[in-house]
Amino acid sequence: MDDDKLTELLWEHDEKGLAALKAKHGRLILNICRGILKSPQDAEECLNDALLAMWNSIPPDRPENLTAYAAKIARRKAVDRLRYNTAAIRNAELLTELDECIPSSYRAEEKAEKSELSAALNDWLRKQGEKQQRLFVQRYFLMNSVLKSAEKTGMSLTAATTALSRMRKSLKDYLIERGLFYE
Amino acid sequence: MNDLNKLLEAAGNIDDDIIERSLKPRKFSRAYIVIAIAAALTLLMGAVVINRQTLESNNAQVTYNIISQTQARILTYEEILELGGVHKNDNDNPWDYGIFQFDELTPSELLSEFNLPVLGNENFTELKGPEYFFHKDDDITASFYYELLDNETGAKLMIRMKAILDEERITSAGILNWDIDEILELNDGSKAMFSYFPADETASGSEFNNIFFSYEGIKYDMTVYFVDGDTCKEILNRLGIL
Repeated sequence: MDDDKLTELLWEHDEKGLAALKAKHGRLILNICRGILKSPQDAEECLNDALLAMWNSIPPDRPENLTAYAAKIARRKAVDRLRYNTAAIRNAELLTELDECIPSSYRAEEKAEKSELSAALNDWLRKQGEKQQRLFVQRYFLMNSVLKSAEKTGMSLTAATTALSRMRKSLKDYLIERGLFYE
Repeated sequence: MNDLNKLLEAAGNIDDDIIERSLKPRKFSRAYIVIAIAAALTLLMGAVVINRQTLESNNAQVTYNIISQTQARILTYEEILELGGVHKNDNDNPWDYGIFQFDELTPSELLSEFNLPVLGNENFTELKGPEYFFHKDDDITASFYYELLDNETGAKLMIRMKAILDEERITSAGILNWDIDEILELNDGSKAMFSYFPADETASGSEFNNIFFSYEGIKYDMTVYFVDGDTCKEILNRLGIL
């Protein structure tokens, strides 16, 4: 079943839609949750939470891209669970990496609102090549390890590590240029 | 909520088309699937940077980051013949050494037999007839020559490739006896020596570009004829290394 048809079933709250959603996107959602959470049981629970969230949010939402919508909800649910569990190891690694993108010296004024930061991040990401975008999504959206991110992007571990380091520096410079942070 | 979490949270709002594109499995040809599996096994086995060789010219130097291609398979003389390799040298003992050309194979088809990667993507056409430099006793290096055609400009990329197989016995990268024009930064963190030669400075009367570099652990030197330096860099960008 294509995503347009599936979205229509969810929009009409047809229960066939829920079964079809799990059949088509359940694996993607579960893989995202597994990548972020340590516990398989937590990942299974997140899968159910994500499916329920999609069922409850469509309508009023009518996503144009159901795959991306499912991926975002899965990630949000898994990150919420991660915060709740305080399972901080991978999270801490990621936060430490992304710390490089935010100028570390004292900030006299902080202007970054959520939507402004998201917009800036997307603008910057669109300037990167497709391979770099894929790598960034694998590492910071799906929160995969650097090794797995490299494999998914078809890069060597060395190349991926270098590319991520360069991207973080580039992102930091861009955020400063946009006036979202000050050094 | 602190700043650090804000950026990780912002990553959750990446645009849908970027997410969808990044979640799709990569498209592979059969040859690339073989290479990818071999590369994954290499990662699991712990491929390491085994040497940093320095290439020097009159006015600059770059460092090659060489990764041992432990996944590579070296073909025997008999296997080379079975693949259709034709001996090109004058020597009478091709079973000892020689350049073998494979007229019926593309670079991907040949290199996949060795479990080695090939440069190129949908922006380029692989030309048949790659060459392998066979030496019976050489289990250190695997050297190839192949050509790609840039679909946009029609320029031909002449690529000499050397994969290092054995981490313990490494030859030097060499010395170039001319001044290079600039050092290019490749997207795997490597650097390349780049030289453009205008037509009136070449013996052939044709302009060409020379690029010497390592990329993802393998050494390359590349010549691109009949385009100027800026166009050549655009070609390298389309090749996906710059």
